[in-house]
Amino acid sequence: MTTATMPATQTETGGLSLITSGLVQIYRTEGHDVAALSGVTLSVAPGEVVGLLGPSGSGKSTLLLACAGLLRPSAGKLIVNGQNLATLTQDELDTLRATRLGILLQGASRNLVPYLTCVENVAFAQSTSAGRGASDLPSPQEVLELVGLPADDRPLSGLPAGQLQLLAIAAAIAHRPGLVLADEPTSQLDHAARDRVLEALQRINAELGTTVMLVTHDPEVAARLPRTVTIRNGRIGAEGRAGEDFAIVTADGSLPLPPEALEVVPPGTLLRVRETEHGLELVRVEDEA
Amino acid sequence: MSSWRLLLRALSYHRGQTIAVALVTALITAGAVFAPWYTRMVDDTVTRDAFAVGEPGSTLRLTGPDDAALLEMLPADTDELFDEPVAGRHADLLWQSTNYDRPVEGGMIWRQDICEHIVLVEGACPEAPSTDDEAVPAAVSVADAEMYDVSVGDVLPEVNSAYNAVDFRVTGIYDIPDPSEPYWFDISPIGRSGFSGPNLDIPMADLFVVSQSGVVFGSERQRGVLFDEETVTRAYQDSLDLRVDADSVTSEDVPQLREIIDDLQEEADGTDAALITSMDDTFDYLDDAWQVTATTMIVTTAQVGVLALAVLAMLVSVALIQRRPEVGLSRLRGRSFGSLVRSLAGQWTAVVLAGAVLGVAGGFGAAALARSLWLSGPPPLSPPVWVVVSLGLAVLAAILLLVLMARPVVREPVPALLRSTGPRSAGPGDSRLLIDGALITAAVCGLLVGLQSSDDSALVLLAPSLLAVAASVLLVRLLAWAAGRLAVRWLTRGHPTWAITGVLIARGRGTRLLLTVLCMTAAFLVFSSQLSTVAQANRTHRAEVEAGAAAVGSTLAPPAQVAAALDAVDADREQATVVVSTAPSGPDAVGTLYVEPDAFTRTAYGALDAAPASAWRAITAPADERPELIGRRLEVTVAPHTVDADGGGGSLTLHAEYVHATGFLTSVRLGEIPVTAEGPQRLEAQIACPEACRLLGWTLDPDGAVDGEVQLTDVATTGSEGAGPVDLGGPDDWPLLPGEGTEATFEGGPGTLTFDGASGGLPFLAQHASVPGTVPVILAGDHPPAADQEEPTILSPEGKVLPFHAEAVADEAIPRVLRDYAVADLATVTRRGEHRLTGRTEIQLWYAEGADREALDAELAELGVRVRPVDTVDDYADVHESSAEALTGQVFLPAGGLALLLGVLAVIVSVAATWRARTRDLAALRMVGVARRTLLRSAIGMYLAIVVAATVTGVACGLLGFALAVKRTPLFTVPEPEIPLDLAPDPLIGALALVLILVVLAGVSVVCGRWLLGRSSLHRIREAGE
Repeated sequence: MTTATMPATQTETGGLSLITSGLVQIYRTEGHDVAALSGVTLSVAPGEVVGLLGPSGSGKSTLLLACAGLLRPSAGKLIVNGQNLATLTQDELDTLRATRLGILLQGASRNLVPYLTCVENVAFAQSTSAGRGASDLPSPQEVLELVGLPADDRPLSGLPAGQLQLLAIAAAIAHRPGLVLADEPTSQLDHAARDRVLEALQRINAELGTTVMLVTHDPEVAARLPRTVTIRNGRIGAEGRAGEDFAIVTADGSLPLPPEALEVVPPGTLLRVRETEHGLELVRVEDEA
Repeated sequence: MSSWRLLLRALSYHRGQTIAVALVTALITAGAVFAPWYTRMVDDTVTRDAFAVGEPGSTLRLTGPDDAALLEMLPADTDELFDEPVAGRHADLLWQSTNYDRPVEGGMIWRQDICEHIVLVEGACPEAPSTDDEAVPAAVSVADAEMYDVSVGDVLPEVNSAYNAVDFRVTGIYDIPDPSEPYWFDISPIGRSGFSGPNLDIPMADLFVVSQSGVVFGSERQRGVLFDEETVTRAYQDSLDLRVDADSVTSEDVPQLREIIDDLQEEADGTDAALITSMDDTFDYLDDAWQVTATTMIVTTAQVGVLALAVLAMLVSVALIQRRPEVGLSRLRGRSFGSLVRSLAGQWTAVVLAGAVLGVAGGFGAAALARSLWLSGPPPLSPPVWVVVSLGLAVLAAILLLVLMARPVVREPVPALLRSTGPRSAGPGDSRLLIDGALITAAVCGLLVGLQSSDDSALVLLAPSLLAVAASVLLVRLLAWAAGRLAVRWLTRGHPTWAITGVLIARGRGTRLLLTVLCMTAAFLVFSSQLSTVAQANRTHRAEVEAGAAAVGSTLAPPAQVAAALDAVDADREQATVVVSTAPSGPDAVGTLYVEPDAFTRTAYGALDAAPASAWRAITAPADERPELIGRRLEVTVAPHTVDADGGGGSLTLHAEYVHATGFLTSVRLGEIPVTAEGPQRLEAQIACPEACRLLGWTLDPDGAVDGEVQLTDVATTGSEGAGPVDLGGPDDWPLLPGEGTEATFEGGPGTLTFDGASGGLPFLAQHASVPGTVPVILAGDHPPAADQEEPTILSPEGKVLPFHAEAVADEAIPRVLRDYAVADLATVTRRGEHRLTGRTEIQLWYAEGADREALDAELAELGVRVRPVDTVDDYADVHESSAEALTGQVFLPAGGLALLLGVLAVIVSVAATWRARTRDLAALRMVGVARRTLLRSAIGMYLAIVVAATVTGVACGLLGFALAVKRTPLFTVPEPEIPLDLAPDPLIGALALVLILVVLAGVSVVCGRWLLGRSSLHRIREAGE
């Protein structure tokens, strides 16, 4: 099993940066509104690999869809490579997805056209980009080799789940995107397949400089990512580095505490913030007595 | 990869929907191809039949004084549309027969190639007369040769005191094998030989057949200016007859024919020529027929087309559900709306075009099949240009439907598209209410427009579909409302199966369009089957009434002989009955149908519809009690008497009329009776009654005004075995026939008859009571006596005027003659005896259904009665079956079958469209422990309830639509008001249609319900959460 940690930066910076600021996403339904994102502020550098963690319903997938330009933010900024997605037209968003963003949906089959072969699927994924003027695209075979699949043309039927997922990744990066947004790319895979998928993403990041942001529930996967961001209740709850979680001060100066800390200092607890030589110390006021 | 390859892969992967869309498109386009093509073929058939009927609707005759000028009038393009023109020449003339004092009214005729169309039974065809000839060579008819004792070589002088007469030298005696041969253009030279005039005293002759110059020779000689063409007003007339070539004429030729007729009329108006034709009537008839065909086909096809489009829409919705992931993926990868719509449109256009190819083949096949099955002729199979237009519109409609349905799906948010199941097609409740209201309003308005449209409009055929649309909209709401409430009630009462069924119905997944389609299907099927059945029944009824009987034959034998022969072979009249038809003598006159009432009511179609049995009994002649005369002499004693003779008359002449066994009438003069006789006087006369004759009447003819009483006694016959006293019957047996200026009573007794009355000089006529003086009749129509008549009259078969009184007025058409006829008992005239029948009279034999006509004819022939077949009810039925209404009506049942097929497809497609949601519902119920058996019943019950509700509603709409529309639906191009239509729906057909629809759709529902439950495994619930 490969356990190498993915690199934090790339020598080739083909990746796109991603910056969110106070990002709010509200789903409007009959009767009531639901705030899926409640002011997410996040910055991802070009060529960075970031994992999005968090419980179900915390807003990970919403954040991913928003970053893909598939949801119009209700408030806040969402800037990809310097472009605020909230201000782009539908056609500009389509162009962005066709040329600069690679999106990997949960479930390999949802990313593939079932009646096309492996090579044709990659070619089909490139067709939109080519239709919008992209040139110098790699051949489908090169893309397949990049993700670790044989370059021969095979039908999808009979491919194991791991290879299907690799093919889905190949389709997602077929047009050489600067940012890959992957929703649980390793779910429902065995360990070996999961590792091959992670290796493929690592290779893409390393060779192409592509920025990768992926959603995962798998702690093992999270532990192998150079940076993770935990979303809780539609907000940034924590960040992790190489498997270790940290609390993070948000843009408005607040400090979301991890769940285990909240057991000690439940909401409403008065804390005194003291500066020490190592940083800051939080002390319950009631304990001071 | 190429887009073409991608297209093929996509279509191949979605082959189910590809095939289904292609097949439904094929149905639509087949209808689009078939409808205009069939319309054209029907138009051609109707056109050909209209011109095949014969004169004068299919012919034109140019007449004028100059045959060359007539030829010049003909347009150049007549060769293509008309048969070879036939030139002719005709002149009237009077000639003298040695048999009669009065001149014979005749004529002479020449027609091109006439000698090839007559049969010379003796002699030769006449040649052209030379200038040395004193007589015109002529051929006379067989009938004239017999009537006027003419032989070959005879010279018949023309009679006309005003001009120099010309003689005719008989060169041959001709007959015409077939007077109805088209060559004659309804001017056959024969058929006039006999007598005419009120007293049947004007001898009439057939036409002399002469050469072309023979007509000129004769007519010019009449004016004494032989061959001086410059100065004479010719008495003859040239003609040029043209007949439309019915074998090759098509509906497209009609405008050209109109133009030719108009041009000829215009040209003739400026010359001495005249155009005689009724082709304008034919054109009007064709206009009406084509209108019926076009409208009926459009309306019928449109209804099935709308159904097919609705099913296609359901199919497309299923296809779009299957395509959602692909569409979502493409959108996810940045593909624009327009590009995606174009891509989908391209794919479906390919499918539609493939279906259209199939449809063209299917439409062509259907047209060819219809052509071979029921289009007689058959008409040309060349497609009209409307086929291309119609096909184009159908393809466009299908593609537009696909694209318009795809657009909103493509425009859905990508996250929604990426879900495995689509969103429920729910809008705000107010919007649905608005749509429902608009649908009902549109349907009702459409119905009102159809019902308010002109009488010959076929828009009313939309009535059942419009009613079905409105009713189905209400049914959707009613069903959901009722199912929801009943489900709760059933649940609380412990009926889980029914309760679940109610809930499933109330959830209403995909039932909206399904209910509408099924409602329309049932309504259309019931309506079309009812209309087809009722129209067919009315056509059959009309053909029967117009034919009169199963078959009709004609004979030249006199009625009494025919009746006697029939008595010998079919005494009970189980196979045939004798009918004598005397045509009206003028446009305002009434014709007479002499029948055997009892046999007639059993044999003739619709006789009891025309008048009740009591009326037929009322016109039946009383029992025949005329005294019999057997012997060679008739003797009578005149008792002593004194009669006042104020006018100076000296005597009265006594005649007796009797009828031979053969039916021949004879009148004998018994002798003169002085006005005063002191002793008895014995009178006698020879009679020819070795077999029993029947004494018909007495005539006492004074030679001046008389007043008094004369008694006849001891009436007896002598001279042969069986002769003896004649019983004259009772006092009421010898009523006085009405006569101006006479007044008398006749009192009869055994061997005695007393005349007691006064006369201004006219004869006393006593006729036996077995022969009514005033004929009782059933009268068809209101025919009061003419202004100069005291009482209405009819003509006897011999042309004698007979007074009649109407016992009843016919409620409906008299079989075969329909209207303007009086129906009398044949016995009332045969008992009067016969003389020579008038040319207006035809002796017919009406055959009963199932009669062995060949055997009967053979037996009658042995008895000297030769019967020529005239026509059968099938001949009349064929005419109606080839009418525009009948031919277009032929598509009703296939269209109904197609509607049922579309209904089945609708159920299947509905299941395919909603199976994920339905199976999730069922799976959820299984999870909570509902028994599989209960769910199976509920799943089947859900579809059954929908199908039954829609079918029953549709059937009701079909019947209601039928009731509303049938009165305004054209069943005949030319209505026959005397034959009322029976427009009541056929309950058996209605029940059969209901059962058929229910069985088919319920069968499909059961299969679908079982299939649905089989797929409702628990993983469906998980799928919903993805």
